[in-house]
Amino acid sequence: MVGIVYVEHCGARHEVDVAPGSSLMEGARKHGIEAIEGECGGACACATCHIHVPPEWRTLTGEPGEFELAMLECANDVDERSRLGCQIKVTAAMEGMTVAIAASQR
Amino acid sequence: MADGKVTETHYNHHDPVVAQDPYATFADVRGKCPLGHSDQLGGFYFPTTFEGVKRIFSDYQHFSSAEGAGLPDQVIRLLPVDLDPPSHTRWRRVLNRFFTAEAADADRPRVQQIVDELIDAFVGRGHADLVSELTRPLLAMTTLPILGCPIEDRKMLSDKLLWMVHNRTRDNDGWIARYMEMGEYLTSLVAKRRVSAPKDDLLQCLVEQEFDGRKLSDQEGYQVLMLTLFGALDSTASAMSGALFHLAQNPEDRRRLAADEVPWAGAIEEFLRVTSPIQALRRTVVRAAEVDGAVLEVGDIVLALNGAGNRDPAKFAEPDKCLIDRDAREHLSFGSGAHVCIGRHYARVMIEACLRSMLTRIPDFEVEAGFTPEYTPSEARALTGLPVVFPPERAR
Repeated sequence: MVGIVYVEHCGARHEVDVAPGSSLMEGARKHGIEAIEGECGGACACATCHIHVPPEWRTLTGEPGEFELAMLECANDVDERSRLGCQIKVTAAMEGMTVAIAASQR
Repeated sequence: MADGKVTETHYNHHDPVVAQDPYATFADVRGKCPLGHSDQLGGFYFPTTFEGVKRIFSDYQHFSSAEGAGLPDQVIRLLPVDLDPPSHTRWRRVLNRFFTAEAADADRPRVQQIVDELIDAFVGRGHADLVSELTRPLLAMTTLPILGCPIEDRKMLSDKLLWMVHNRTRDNDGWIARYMEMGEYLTSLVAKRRVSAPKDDLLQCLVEQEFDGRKLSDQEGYQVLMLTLFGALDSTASAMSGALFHLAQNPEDRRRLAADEVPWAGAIEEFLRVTSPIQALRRTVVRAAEVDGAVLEVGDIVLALNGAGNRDPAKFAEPDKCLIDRDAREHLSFGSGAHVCIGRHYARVMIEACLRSMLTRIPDFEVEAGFTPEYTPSEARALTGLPVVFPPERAR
């Protein structure tokens, strides 16, 4: 398992273990972190798993692809840290990664 | 034309005979080459595994809704179901607020009151048709005010939509005539709202909000309302009717649920899985892709069969049995992906209120002797009636 920290906009921290190979969206949903909705089930099709990945982790998470960028245009509070949690697969190297959940998914 | 092995069939979701038991066909295909092909309705493919069906729903980059989600085509484009992300997403985000889990939860007292009134009307009688007297009116009375359709038009809308959903390939002229009538009715409803006092409902949203950067015409308002009515007048009633049919025949499950021995939330997901109220939605292949062992080519029509995915034994053991304590949460009854049912939270609230109230007020209802279930054909499969008998309330 890989330790990931999700920080909600209100400041609430969730330190949880996520199975390698699952997505950051799935990891959050599995632990009942409601601030990530993941309405479409991980199909890069709803923009309700919007997170902010700090610059120091972006080498590991990579950059958004064409479809993800199109979906991010539908999200709120988008900036250069924005990613969709469903598009990032967790790897062992991400141990300790902290991501911020966007203020609103709607 | 698919490259690879497919199972040839004459499957047609509009065939009233097929609708009585589509699952036998799905199981047969799944046991051969799991990608089925039908020579009906112009020809189409259909995966029968859970993963295959889910892929069609999820992967809009290969399987597009832009050519329409119905087979055969609807008379008009239905919005936003006939759109792909990201345009679809921009529409959906405006509409979502009426159907959130919080909105559905906050509406529980109103739903409960509707259930109570409907049951009051037959509880002293000792018999009832639970489809026409409970599940269908409950759904319509719950949803019409949310949409902004006048409740006094409930019977007209309910009857017309029921006919339209289930007779599309049997009476094309009648189907088109009803579309014209609905078009006139709904565009006029939108136009009237533009000059009336605002209300907090979907209709107001359609006249006020911008969708994908612009305001909607009366015609587009009709295209959204038509889709919403298809969803709002039939499908959840089907899940409730199917669940009540199961409970009427299984007193032990009635007892376990009434005693809270089995969690309601889990049982509701299993009822949704087994009933699969929506059976078939169409996609068009826009990039070649392999599904269930064969490659689908650009231009192929593919049907995502919710009920086929829900009965895949590799995903749900003993799939034809309704086991109320199984974990069925991953069922495909609400679809999946971008177009996952917008009303799913409301559906769960209605199903729970309906079933709980029945078990409390009429704990010992049974299906009327000699009853043979009949299911409607089309994209939506539902019991046409469910006559039950029970000791009248006054006699207890």
